[in-house]
Amino acid sequence: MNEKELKRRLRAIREPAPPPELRTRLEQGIPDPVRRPETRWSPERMWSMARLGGLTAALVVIVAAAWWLAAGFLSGPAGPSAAFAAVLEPVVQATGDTGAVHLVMRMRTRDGEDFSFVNLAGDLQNVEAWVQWPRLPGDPARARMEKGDRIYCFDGEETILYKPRRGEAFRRAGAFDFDLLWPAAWVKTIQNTPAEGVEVVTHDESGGRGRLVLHEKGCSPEPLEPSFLGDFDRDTEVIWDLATHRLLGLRRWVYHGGERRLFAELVSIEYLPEIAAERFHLDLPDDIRWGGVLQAPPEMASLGPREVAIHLFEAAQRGDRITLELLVPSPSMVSFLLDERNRPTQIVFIGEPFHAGQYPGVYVPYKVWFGKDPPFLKQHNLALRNDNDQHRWVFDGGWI
Amino acid sequence: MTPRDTILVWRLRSGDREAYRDLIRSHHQGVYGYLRRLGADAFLAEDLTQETYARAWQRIETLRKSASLRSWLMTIARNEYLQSVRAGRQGTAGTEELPEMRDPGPGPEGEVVLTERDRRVRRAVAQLEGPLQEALALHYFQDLSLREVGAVLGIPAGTVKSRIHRAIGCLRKMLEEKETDDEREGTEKAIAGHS
Repeated sequence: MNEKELKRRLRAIREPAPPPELRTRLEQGIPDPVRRPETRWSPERMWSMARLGGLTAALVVIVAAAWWLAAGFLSGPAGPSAAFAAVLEPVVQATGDTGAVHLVMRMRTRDGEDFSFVNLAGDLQNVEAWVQWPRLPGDPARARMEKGDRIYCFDGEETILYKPRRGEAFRRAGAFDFDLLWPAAWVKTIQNTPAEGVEVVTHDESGGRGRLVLHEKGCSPEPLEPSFLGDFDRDTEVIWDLATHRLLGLRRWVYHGGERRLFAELVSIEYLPEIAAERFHLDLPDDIRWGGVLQAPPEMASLGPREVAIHLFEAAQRGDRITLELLVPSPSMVSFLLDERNRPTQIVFIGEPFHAGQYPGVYVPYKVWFGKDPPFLKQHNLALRNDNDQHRWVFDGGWI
Repeated sequence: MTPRDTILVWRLRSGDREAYRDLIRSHHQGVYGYLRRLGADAFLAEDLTQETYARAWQRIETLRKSASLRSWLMTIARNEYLQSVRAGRQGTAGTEELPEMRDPGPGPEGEVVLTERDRRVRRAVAQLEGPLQEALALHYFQDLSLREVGAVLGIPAGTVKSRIHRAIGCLRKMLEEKETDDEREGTEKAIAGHS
């Protein structure tokens, strides 16, 4: 028998099989409840989920934006000693004692992302936000945020997400958890984080300013590369005015590859009594394309997320615009999916939907070949959500 | 780590119960078979498979980026087996009597008809010395890469390669001797029958 034949025969050998009931016994041994670390309420997880989502609902975009601020400037799963909690108490009080704020920030985020991703390969991006806080019960909150290719604007009644480059916008009624856009809330969250895992690197009060630097350990996502703030070991710097106790600055660094890299920085903060209402009004072009969930046949509403994922890939594969428009709220995304370069050529695997973090939808794992020149295999999670008027599962992100 | 494993690890870390079932479905046959290969009898192999998964649930956070899920499970299984040997647990058996696979499942392996030559190969594998047999079995029967086999056995991939090379050489030698003996025996029978 030559070596080639021997190896062929070796490869055909399989070890003895277990009795069929063993699998049942193993499944009975799955711990109950299964530990669910990602379901806890944390900015890091919220943002890891928000990375895949965020092409549609403006409400969620604003919430995500708020969480971005939280993720960017707030502490993660760590905690201060009682000493620095006490130090921050007057900062929380004074920072919250204002009617409105105007913020300018820089973040190492990425175009097309809803802020969460720590884009170490990219430059810092400018982000600007205006937040009007209700002074009296019944006063509306208002907020506006501009970043890269998108503007989020909440006028107290509805929220609009406008993407100038794509010439499209999304509208949604409803409020948002604007507490998370509020700088006092950032400091409060730092103050309230649990005690384990935080090291006070510096506490200095001189020259009219207070400065606190905290170090926190990241939660390694191995075998995945660290991508989101909570994945990294990180430092947080809080600076405040000793006379007014108001927050003046916040910076966050992440440690990666032996380097300490700036991830987020509060460049300026203005404390204002109020912001003119015009700031929260968007003048949109007449030819704007409004995105949204279209009316669909009743049978479409009954499709589960996995079925929607399959329909979506198959429709993109055959260039079926009508079906795509029903499944994809963004008009520009429909055009993108119909582009020959972005169309699937072979669907290898569509997995079972799963929930993760605070993302209101689900994720459907997939493995699909795309394009033709050259073809490439993509595996990722399709983000789908059904919190629309029709309660239909629609595309929300996670394509190529 | 394969893309499929990457997704599975992600799901496991997020507490997706179905992912735990996937890990069982995908690998429990391999774990059980490997334990049998190491020398556990059927009852001990069942026990140790359950202990391997129980340990895996506790250690899901320790899974390193460089390890595949299969090799990670095999490493745990191997440690469980060695502990059982050290503890003097009953139920260790030689690998000479390993049965054929009872339920090969769907796929081409299920349609393989074992020829006499296949049986000879299996018997010859069982006669290999332990380290050679283990490296060979992990690579060929469990479809682990040289690097993954090295991770399970705690040795460099180069050492795995040389062990497998030696194992193949030994097998060829054993099989050639066996075929020569058979040929001689067949010839003698033919001559005896003719006369």
